[in-house]
Amino acid sequence: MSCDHAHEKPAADKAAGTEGPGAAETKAAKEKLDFRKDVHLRYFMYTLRMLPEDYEGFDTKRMMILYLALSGLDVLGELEKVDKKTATKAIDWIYAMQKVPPPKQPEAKAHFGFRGGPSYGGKYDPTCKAGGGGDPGLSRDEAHIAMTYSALCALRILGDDLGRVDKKAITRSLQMLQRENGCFRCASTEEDDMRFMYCACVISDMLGDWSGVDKEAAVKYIVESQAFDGGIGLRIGAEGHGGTTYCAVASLVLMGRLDALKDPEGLVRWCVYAQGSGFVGRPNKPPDSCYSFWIGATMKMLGVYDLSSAKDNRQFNLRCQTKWGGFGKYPDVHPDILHSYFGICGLSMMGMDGLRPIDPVWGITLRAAGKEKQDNSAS
Amino acid sequence: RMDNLGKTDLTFPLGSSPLWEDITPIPQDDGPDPIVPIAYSKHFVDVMDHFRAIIKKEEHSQRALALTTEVIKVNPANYTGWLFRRECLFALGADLKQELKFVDEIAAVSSKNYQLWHHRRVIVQHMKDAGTELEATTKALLQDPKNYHVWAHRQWVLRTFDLFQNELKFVDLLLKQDIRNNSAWNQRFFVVKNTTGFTKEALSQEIKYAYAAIEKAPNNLSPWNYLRGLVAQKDFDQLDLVNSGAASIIKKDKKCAECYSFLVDMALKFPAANRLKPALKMCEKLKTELAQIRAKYWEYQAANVQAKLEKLEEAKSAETSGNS
Repeated sequence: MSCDHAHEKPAADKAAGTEGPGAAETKAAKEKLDFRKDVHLRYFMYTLRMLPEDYEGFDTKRMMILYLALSGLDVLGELEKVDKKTATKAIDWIYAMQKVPPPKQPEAKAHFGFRGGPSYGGKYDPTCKAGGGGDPGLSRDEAHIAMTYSALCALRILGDDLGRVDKKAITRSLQMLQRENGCFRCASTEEDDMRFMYCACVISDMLGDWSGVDKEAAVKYIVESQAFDGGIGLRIGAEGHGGTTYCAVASLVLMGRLDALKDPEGLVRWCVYAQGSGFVGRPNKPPDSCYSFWIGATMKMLGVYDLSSAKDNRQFNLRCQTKWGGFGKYPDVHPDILHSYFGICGLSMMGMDGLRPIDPVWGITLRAAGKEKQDNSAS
Repeated sequence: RMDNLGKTDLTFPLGSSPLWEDITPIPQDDGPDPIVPIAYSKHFVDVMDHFRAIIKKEEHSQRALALTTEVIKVNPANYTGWLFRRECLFALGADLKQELKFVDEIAAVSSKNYQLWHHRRVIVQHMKDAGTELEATTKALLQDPKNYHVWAHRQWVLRTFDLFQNELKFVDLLLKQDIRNNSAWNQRFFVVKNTTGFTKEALSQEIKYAYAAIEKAPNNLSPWNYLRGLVAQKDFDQLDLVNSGAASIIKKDKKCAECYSFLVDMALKFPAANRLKPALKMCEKLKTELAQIRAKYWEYQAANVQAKLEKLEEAKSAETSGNS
């Protein structure tokens, strides 16, 4: 495979050992490969404070951005930079985004859990008394499964005890979101796919209640979604893809059914082959920093992480750092919060100094997951 | 980039227009001191505040429809915007073919958007007519041949309306443009699986197809994976064809890493001493020379091969001692 990726060799290789411009290139290339924690810290802190106008397209996903920024700070080991006032306001904001059943109707049938933002919610109310109702918001207002996952992560990261979470309402809602084919929708009006399968499983695990998930149906769906090349797609028939492979494998691990896969060796091969220098999301695509997490974490869960080349993975990720802070998907592109977080997670999994270890299944640090005693990074 | 799309007759700010006189905009309540706030533009706030008011009224009018155009433009991922738009379209009996044209426009700027393709799906389901969809996805894929959303939509169209007839030709076209297009290879598998199935004839044809592609780019992973998918089919019995294909690749290129990798997998899948012993040598060659980045994987594979060899040897000696 090395010949197919020759064009991606770092500049350092070309310039090694030459004088003049070559030497300057080597120095610059070397500097690029230092992990600049300080600028990434700044990047995540700014994210908490204010997102620029071009994040308008993320208006319904602010909860996810909050999770990425907080978890990013946690992985950097810099969570204490979030002062108590900010942490409290974040926790309150998260709870104000919770949609709970109306007063006196705790068993009401609707999609409860957490919203991505206040767009269609009603009055801001962080108190969330169980069955207290809060403001039901506008008629199309409902929770979003990925935002429920993000909220639970963010609360755990901030050390909240989930005391205001209406766990039963969330679990009941999962039942409503699961389709006959076994997969999950993100909201009652939207489509089902593997990302939301993962959300349903990890939410159930975090809340310690699987009554909202028909595991047999879910496992069947995942098994049928494994493609002929060993990777797992967004849906049955779809192309194997790094992100969805992670979602599928993590779901199986959470359900204790990793044994169900029909082609486990194919999956291992698919993951190993995803690495040229960095990791790609699909064969014959360019490497992208976020896949160092999606595929790296998958390999951790399969116990084969050591089959990857940490050195090449690290080099590629570090080249994706930007001077403003954060990581882009490729070297020399603008950063975004997603690639910044997953790029750093990828580095953490390689055991890079100064980064907190991650629980590959929950997608937060072992510390936040309360799993520090049982380090599950199998390989 | 969105500014010139889906032209409506709305003028901004909405409040200054007589059309919206009766509407009291509803701001969102983000609390006294929000976290991760967005520095919304005035236009964004204007549109969303009016949209909230329209939702509260459950108004599915022309002006509401026009407003959803703006909602989608300021945030194409706003699934409630798309949802309410559908409600307006259906309530007004709008021209859905025209709607699909609007979606095409948005797709040209925002093609990696789940909501857009879901919207298309619902519209097409409502119309019970996929007439436009092959053309729309063909156009999109010729521009962006690996767009995951478009491929997923196309698969849905093919399956729902049974439109597989010309799909292999389409896959051929894309592979001619780029023999390394993994999405196209995946589509090929999808078509065969959902039409003829992997009959002896289909398998034979597809094996030859894969090797023809491999000849053009021997280390292209996609057709090698395709072959792996073929040999995994039930009651597979065309090993000779597969082996002769591999042999001719090796003859032309003794350093073809992907061929050796494939042969190692074949040895593991169809264990026999005369395949496993050479496989050990191949693992060594791959590890030390041909694909060093995966050195540890070749060690892992070698261990797998060794284990299978030992199992075979055990079985053989058990048989022998049983017979004596």
